[in-house]
Amino acid sequence: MFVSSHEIGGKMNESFRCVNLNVHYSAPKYIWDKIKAVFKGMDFYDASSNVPSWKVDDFYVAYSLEPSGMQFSSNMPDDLWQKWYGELKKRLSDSLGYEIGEPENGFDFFYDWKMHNEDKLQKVDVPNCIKTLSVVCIVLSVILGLASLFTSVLQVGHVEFMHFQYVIDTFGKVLTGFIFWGVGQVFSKFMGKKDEV
Amino acid sequence: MKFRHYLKALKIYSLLNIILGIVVFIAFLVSIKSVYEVYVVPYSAKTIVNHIYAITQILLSLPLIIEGFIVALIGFFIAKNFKIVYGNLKRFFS
Repeated sequence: MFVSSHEIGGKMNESFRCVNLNVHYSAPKYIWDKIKAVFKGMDFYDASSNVPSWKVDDFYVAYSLEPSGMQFSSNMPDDLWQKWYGELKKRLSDSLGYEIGEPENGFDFFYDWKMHNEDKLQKVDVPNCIKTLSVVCIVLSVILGLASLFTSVLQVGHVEFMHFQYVIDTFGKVLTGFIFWGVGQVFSKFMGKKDEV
Repeated sequence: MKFRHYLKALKIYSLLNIILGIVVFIAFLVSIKSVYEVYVVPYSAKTIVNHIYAITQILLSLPLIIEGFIVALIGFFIAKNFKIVYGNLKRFFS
């Protein structure tokens, strides 16, 4: 980040900053659409301007796309800048799916957008879904199995051999649920060891 | 036909199964009322027990729907991460 003091409106206490963020100009259109949406959602967005910019009182943030990444220059005072810039990085990181920051601080550029898309699909945590659904299945089976057993006994008025069927059915469903839960657990471990394979 | 085509077929099949699971669940929700009546009508004395029995019998289809959904998810996961699953299993059994 480049910082310098200069005079604006007769005051010398504002700092001029110039920062680069790790978004490469080769990013595909859908990434730029996301970035545009983030820009528009930021405080002080100047909708009247043709290029993305932000204005508040005498202060501004200007944007340009450079070979070094997305470049922002601003004369905002420190506290306002920290708040605005922190929010921008947070929103961009959330929206784009990788950590956004200054390359000079170790935040790398991202190039493999196809891979990035596949990773986003992978974000649907299937093993966790399987485990959650298994637990729901087990709980439902136990509650409903017992409820149907008791109501059936109450309807008939006494216990018959056929009532064992409810117990066996419930036991079978609970067992199946546990097996599914185990499969989900194994899949979770597999994904944890993804890099080792 | 290459092996990855089978995996693709499994992936599509699993996705269709997941969609089918959602359709079945919607059909289940739509038919709840009429199925409930089927269970309650035969009993002339409509006691609270009959109502609870009818409700439990209807809800008992839920675990079956969820099981179908889980099977589809497992198939989808295996098709999508076959290398990881196969690699881990191979290492475990060797």
